[in-house]
Amino acid sequence: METAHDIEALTSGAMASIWSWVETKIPAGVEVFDAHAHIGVDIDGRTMTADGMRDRMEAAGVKKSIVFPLNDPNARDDYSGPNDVVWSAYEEHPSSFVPFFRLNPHLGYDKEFGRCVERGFMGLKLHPVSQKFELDDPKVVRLFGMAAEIDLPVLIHAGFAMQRIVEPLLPTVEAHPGLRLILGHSAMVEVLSAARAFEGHPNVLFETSVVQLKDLYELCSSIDPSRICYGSDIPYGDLPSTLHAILAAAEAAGVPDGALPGILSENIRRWFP
Amino acid sequence: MKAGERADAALRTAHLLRIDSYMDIAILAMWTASPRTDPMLGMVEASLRGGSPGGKDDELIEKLRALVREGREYLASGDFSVAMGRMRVAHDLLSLHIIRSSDR
Repeated sequence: METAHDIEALTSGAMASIWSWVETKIPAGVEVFDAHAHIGVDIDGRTMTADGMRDRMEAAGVKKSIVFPLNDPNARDDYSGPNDVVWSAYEEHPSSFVPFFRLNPHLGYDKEFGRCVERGFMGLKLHPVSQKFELDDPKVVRLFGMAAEIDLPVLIHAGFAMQRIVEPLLPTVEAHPGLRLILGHSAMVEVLSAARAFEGHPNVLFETSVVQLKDLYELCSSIDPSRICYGSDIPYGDLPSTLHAILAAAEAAGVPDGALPGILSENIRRWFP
Repeated sequence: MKAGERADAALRTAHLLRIDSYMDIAILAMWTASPRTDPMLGMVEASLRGGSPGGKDDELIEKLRALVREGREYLASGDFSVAMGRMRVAHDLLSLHIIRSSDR
């Protein structure tokens, strides 16, 4: 169970000067938007509640977060239980959360896809590592097509333990240029390759959660900042350290301060005003 | 030449890259919940002892020591998120220093 002390510890002690710097770098008036966070329970034991998420957002001055389930041990075949938890969080705090639902592409997903879209979920989260699939699996390609057809944004895990990203994903992006796609963790293992491949596809955004500064430096040095959006990956990441990473990387890469509101908020807020 | 007197750019970079490697190992150990995570963090702390070549990067190293020390303490008390935040920031500050130094 998370406590106020835990949240305070994120910005105290040796983190105090880091957090002060972050606060000076966030432009006045910018309402920070976290494009990657979880609510629920994971098989690895990590948890996050809606209230815990809100407390963290409030402490760090973050106004809105995209939230979706973890790799839930209680997920039924169709992920409906964990998706319901996220929906309840959204109903309780509609101004704070943007709800995404999660699916397992290996299993029958049409019914849950339809149920979540009907209900009003605003996007789909897919995790190739946790659900053990490739991005060019025909079942996954079909799912991307279904999302494109109804203009539903998709966030894919493209971070830790990924081994193939650009080559299996590019044909789908080319086939569905209107598909709004968020590359979770910025496709970090192939970051330069991804920046080159997706540069001409403006509906592909690079989301920055728990990506190392050196990867973010390469990203910020390689693609227009209008294609980058900030994320935390709570409960794996936290808001102060992930804000520090993207702001420090952007500064080192020479990203102008005028582009920071876009990275921290406006680039993703265009899709979720 | 006395030990520790040399302080050219190549040696300073090598010293910082050593620390970076130990941080990489420790952070991966944390992500994967390795049973050897605490000794890996101890290796990072060891790599930060004694100061930098010629003392030229000591200000950074002092910051890293504090972050890693607190990170190890928070992990030992079961607070993964707070611990990982400190380790990731320490790693990022080190990367930033190396990137900026390489341009000078």
